[in-house]
Amino acid sequence: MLWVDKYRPKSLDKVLVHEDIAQNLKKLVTEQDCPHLLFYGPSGSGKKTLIMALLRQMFGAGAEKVKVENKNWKVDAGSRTIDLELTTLSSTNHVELNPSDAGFQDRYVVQEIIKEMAKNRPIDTKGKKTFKVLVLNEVDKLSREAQHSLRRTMEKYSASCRLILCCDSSSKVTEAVRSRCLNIRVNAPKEDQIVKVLEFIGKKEGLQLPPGFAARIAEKSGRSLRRAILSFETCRVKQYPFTNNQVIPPMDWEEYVCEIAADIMKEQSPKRLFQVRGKLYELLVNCIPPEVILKRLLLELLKKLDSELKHEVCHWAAYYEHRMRLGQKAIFHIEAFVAKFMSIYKGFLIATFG
Amino acid sequence: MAPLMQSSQPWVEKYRPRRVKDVAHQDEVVRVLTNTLETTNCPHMLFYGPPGTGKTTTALAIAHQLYGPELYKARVLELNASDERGINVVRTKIKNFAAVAVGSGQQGGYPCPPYKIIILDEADSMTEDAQVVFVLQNALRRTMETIIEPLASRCAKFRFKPLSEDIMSTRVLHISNEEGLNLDSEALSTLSSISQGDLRRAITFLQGAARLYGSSISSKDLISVSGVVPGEVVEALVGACKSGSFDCANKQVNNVIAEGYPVTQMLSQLFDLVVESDHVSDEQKATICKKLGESDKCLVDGADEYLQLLDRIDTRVKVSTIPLESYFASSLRFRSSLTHAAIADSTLLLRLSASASGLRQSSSTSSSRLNRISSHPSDPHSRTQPSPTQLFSPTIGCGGRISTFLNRRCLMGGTSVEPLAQSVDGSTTNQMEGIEVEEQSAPKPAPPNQNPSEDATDKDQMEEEVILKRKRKKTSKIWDHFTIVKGVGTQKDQAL
Repeated sequence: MLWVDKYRPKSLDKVLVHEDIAQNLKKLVTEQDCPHLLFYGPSGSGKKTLIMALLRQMFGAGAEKVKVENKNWKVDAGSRTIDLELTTLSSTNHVELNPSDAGFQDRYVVQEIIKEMAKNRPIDTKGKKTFKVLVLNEVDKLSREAQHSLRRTMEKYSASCRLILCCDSSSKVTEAVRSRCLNIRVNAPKEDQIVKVLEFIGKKEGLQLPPGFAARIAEKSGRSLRRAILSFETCRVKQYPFTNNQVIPPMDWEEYVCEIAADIMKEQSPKRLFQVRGKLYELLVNCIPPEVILKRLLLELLKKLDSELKHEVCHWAAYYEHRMRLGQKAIFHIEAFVAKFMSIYKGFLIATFG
Repeated sequence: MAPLMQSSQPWVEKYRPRRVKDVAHQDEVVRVLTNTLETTNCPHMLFYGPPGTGKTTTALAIAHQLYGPELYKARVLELNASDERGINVVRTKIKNFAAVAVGSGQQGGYPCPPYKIIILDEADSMTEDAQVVFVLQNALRRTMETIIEPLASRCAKFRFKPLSEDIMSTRVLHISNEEGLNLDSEALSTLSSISQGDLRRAITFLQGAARLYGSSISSKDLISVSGVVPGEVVEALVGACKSGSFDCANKQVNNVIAEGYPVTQMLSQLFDLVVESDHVSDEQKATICKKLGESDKCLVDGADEYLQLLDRIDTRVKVSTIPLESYFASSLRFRSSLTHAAIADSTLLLRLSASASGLRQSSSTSSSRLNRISSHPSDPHSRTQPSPTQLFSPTIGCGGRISTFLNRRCLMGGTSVEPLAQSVDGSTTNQMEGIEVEEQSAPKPAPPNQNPSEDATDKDQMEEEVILKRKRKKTSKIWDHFTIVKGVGTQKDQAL
């Protein structure tokens, strides 16, 4: 088992990073009328961990016995029937699903499947927990129509069902949905918090940590706890006992982007642009999301730039990223950014050095 | 339902008014509908207005009061966006439902008139083909424009206005008494301001805070549940911008993203800060607002939050390093800069309206920055202010947003907008008793999407009346503003 999973806190009491949120959630559950919840925050901040711990708090150990199901639904949409395939994770009291997996048909998932699930009330003879919980992941990726469909469902079946929504950025969730939920912001852990967690894991695993080693990992992680733990484990596999100046291996693709940035800085010509394109293709083929590439590339370029150019370059990065969302082929827009950068940089060089 | 279930309901449901007369703040609507209930003579109705003002509540209440619990199921068909509502549903389900006639006769103390009711919640998200029905209820904000003209003209329209702070406070206090909560006056006013006229939001916040922090709630608790970015964070960002150092600003941006604050919210708060700031000149404000508008549109399109915020920050750095030459300290100076500002405004308006139309395309309901506008106290006149809308006719339907921008600028100029709101409200009330019943004898032959908002001549009249009133009142700055913008508009029209 990976350390990330092995040391995932199982209950709200054992949470190391977001103690305050955990305590609040605990209070929330002890009262009977839990509202709908919306968790948001950057990836690797612990949203999912909190949700799982919350479910356990609500339903006891039963919530951990989940089964993965690949279900098929036939949705009657007037003139035609639509086949939908969706993977769900469910226990007796909760169902977890990823409605945006259905792509442009996500509206039907919300209209039919979620509604169907929300209608049925779990039978409990003791009359104790009379609602079930639906966990919906990546709600920010849902289409507008789907989000609209969600809002009345949230109200109508609130007696029998609670929704827990989870997303990276709440900007992309409509106001109407947000206003029906209790919003819980899960911020990325601070570096010292990451260090604390890493040291905790190190102790549990019986490892000797050289001073400052955990801090270096934390610094490289970009405040993502998941990433920090993963790279900690990688280091462990690569070389143990740890040495003081042990290199923390960066991701392959990041090194590759770094290389591209160096190429761009060295020469600004159509020929070089063509070479860069090949490398960009390489990254895209390896399923690195284009916006991640663009962001990383910007970061690497900014490191090497004069401060007076930084604003302009940032502006163009934002501009091309926006166009990329609207357009179809990511490579065009990344390449356009590279070309734009080359022209700005070359102009700058000529102006300064003649 | 078991008593236990009642207590586990969200407060929004628990305290939903069950009778029309309990609906808060919508006096004109309530008056007309109470009358309707007495005579049981019910026209087709179209409810519209910002979220959380009681549209769904009213519709459900009428249906319940007309038929009572027994007949309700048989007589009322409720369809909302969570149901499939394509053209087929309208052709089959609704037609079948409506085709069977029912008799009248009192039953159990309810009037039970001889017709049925269909409630179409969130009608603006229906497909255009499907928009042909009876009692219409439109639960989205000011998207009247997405309801096609032939449909709108068959309905009596009821506008629901955003709730005023007093009404909101009364309602919130009532609930907190029922639930045994302690709210101090500071918390109460915070709640009113962060929920911006949306009662549902206020109640959700209240419940959230009560669950998390127990029975005594401070304004800080409310802010933490509401998702508003704390003032310090915004200040830190602005401070970093003023320092002029890119790396410093970049660090703050990274921090905002890592802390998970929603960037749309951030932009909205930056907007407020900039507009109300005394240290930024008029032109700078216009430039900044324009940029913020662009970013908002990009975010709605799904652009990356980090890059967008970084881009904005960078703009602000540049702007704030420009020497601040035109403070409008003296009124003389103010006059001259006003003209400039108005010109800057017209481009800004264009931008804003472009972004607003972008919002419309994706039927966004989330751009909080522009939304707050729709819940602004001076809201009513956004519908009676045609010039910007006509000026930018391609982007019709964003009148509200533009007007608010003007409002904000007016506020910034130091004059309250309230009198304007009142005067417009007054004129509306005089003319139509507060409810705009459209009386078009013949349906317009023009294609519906050409001018989906409303009759231009009506608007013009209204506008002129308003202008006259204003001139009489001599509320100087605001009106100068309006007329100047209008002047720009006419010139532009002529040029076109």
